[in-house]
Amino acid sequence: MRGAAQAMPDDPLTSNYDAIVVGSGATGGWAAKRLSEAGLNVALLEAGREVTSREFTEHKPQFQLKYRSFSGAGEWRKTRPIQTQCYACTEYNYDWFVNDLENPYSTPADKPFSWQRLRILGGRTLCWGRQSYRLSDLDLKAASFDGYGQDWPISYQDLAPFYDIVEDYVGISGASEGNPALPDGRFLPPMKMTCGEVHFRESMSKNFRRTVTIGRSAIITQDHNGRSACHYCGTCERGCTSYSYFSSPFTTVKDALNTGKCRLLTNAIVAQVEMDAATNRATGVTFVDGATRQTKTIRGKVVILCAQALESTRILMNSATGTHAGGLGNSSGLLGRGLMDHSTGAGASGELPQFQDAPDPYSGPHRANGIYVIRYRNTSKATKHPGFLRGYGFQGSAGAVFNQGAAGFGAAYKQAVKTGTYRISLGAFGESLARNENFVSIDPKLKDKWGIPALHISMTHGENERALHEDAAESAAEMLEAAGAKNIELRSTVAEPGMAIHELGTARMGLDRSSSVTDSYCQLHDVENVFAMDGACFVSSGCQNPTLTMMAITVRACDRLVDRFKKHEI
Amino acid sequence: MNRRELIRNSLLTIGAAATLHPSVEALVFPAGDNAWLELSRPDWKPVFLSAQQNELLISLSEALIPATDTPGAKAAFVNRFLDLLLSVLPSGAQQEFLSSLQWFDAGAQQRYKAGFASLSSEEANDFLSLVAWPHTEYRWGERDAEFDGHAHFEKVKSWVAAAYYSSPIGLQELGWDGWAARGIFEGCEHQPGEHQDAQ
Repeated sequence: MRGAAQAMPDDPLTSNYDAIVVGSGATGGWAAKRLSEAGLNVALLEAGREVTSREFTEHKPQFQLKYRSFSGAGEWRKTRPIQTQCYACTEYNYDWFVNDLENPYSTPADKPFSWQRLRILGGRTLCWGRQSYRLSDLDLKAASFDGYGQDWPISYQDLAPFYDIVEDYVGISGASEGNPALPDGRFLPPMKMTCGEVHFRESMSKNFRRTVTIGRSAIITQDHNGRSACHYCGTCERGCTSYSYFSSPFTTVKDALNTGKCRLLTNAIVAQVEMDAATNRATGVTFVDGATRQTKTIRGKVVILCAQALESTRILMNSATGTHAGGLGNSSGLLGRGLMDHSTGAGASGELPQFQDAPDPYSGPHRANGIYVIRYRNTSKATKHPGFLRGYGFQGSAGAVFNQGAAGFGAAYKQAVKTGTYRISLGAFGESLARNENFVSIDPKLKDKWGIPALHISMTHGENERALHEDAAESAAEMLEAAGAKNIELRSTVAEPGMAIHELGTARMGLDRSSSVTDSYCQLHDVENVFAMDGACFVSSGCQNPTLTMMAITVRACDRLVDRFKKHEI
Repeated sequence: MNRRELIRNSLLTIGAAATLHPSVEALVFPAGDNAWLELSRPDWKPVFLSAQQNELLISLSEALIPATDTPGAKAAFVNRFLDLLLSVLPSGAQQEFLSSLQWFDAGAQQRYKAGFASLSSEEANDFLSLVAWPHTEYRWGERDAEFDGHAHFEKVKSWVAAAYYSSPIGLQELGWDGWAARGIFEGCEHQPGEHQDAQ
């Protein structure tokens, strides 16, 4: 990767780059790719180290691990008490996740927030869930439909061409359904459903007129853009030897470096944006070299924050000056406000005894994907729910699974485990309303290992989320029962904020600078050469997994930026 | 060559190209660093359990998951892995496990006047049958009470099963054939509407 940067000067800090991109994950990778391919000189700063495919362990059997990733075992868990709340942080890959002791944040005692982070080249794209859904105008113009909050300053028509670009490059497998609540995209062939899922889809269509589709996933089902089709080993969160799921180090970042116009600096922990008070323009960023702990400054014409919603806002807040009290972009007083994370936790599960299939053998194909029930609440006057605003979608699956929980012992137990049980489950992802009382700020006392002031995160899910999830649990059970499920169990809890790992908002976009932080191209209203191109700019959350939209927004903003460079407006 | 073999071969090629090593790490067992080899050492000794507790665990785990036409818990070194695991767990979890483990020895002494490890297979099965299912005890003049043997059974069994089914032998029981590359997920191959009888 580094070879492509040979045309750059030896000391990366001597250049004045066209653009400094902070963060190398889903959006940072796109920003670096888009800008460098357009001919701009880019510095890409990543707080973590590089990663190579030699670290991938998706094929490593569990027994080769010392503690087989059993809960509670391993010294590493002591340094990652928060990260281990994420299913993907295991004995296989914990080193990709941050050390919680070195990267602290605070919360009110009664408002826990689980902030799960990776600091490594590619960030969370190494471990992400890969579910990729478009927002619709039902989401982008939600305030006009129900009166709550603000509309986005962009419509689906504005975003659609950029969804196309991202999907064409990333490779999203999925099926078109013609459901306006979840716009279709440019899909690779869909993964297959199990018999139980096909049955459930037919039952939902017949009994409820609801759409069940295969998960739209950033896992390629045919060779695509130099990457190989999925081989169905099923453990994507440990890396992928064939690069079959989208991960920025092996796609966008690689492309950017191949241009020879992009310089990658790893272990560069950005502390703040540097400002020129005379011109009210950013001149670069200051970062701590994670290896040497030296503080360094790098100069650029524009600064693009793609560090992850809360990290980008933290950098803006830590960049406060006399002119920009409370942080860059905070003239509205809204920087840090409106934190969202999809509400999760509710759903239902049961057995489908009418299916007798045996579980797929351990070495058989495993699909790292499931089914998706498209939102059906509050999509029109006819589906308006009296108890809550907005809606939810379900992710789930049905299939035969080994039954280690079988009763008894001895030979009969061994056979029962192998015979398995045919289960179906649904889990809701609900919209998280943007409420200004959910916020982040700088903790006045707490600093990270590198001396950078840490965040204080204050968020709870509200009554709307609670009512939404109660309905989701009831509705899930009703749908399972209609499909013939037995032994149904409900979950109506709302999980702790952060558990969806979809942090959004805190630097929302808008047309009116008094009620937003950035414009529709992610540019701060207050500083014309600083951008927040990640989940921070979200105005509302929808209920769909957000990464696809973040990438589309980034491409749109970068194309606009390139155009301005060409016109010498920057 | 079938499609699955084709995929496996192509993965080997991809993996070889993607790594600096001449062989592809962890595609085929055994390869790479491997904690199982440590557990399999002939000079293995427990680091947490006493000799008596270790023998008890071997006997109990084999009674729970016996050798049939496939190897059981003893061959899977369930005791060795649990010994290692217990050695690093918090003391509360350690004591909880040991308490359940010792309950079986005490129960065997009470019923058969011998430790569990000394029971014949018939006696062990007879004893486990008593505790394998939820049951309440009727005590003269008292309310029915949960028989605590079942709780101890469930606790030890869950640990033993987790250790067994994460071992090479346990994974083979579930269809692991030494390969990690899996093939194509075929899914449902029925025609539309063919599941209507499943309503």
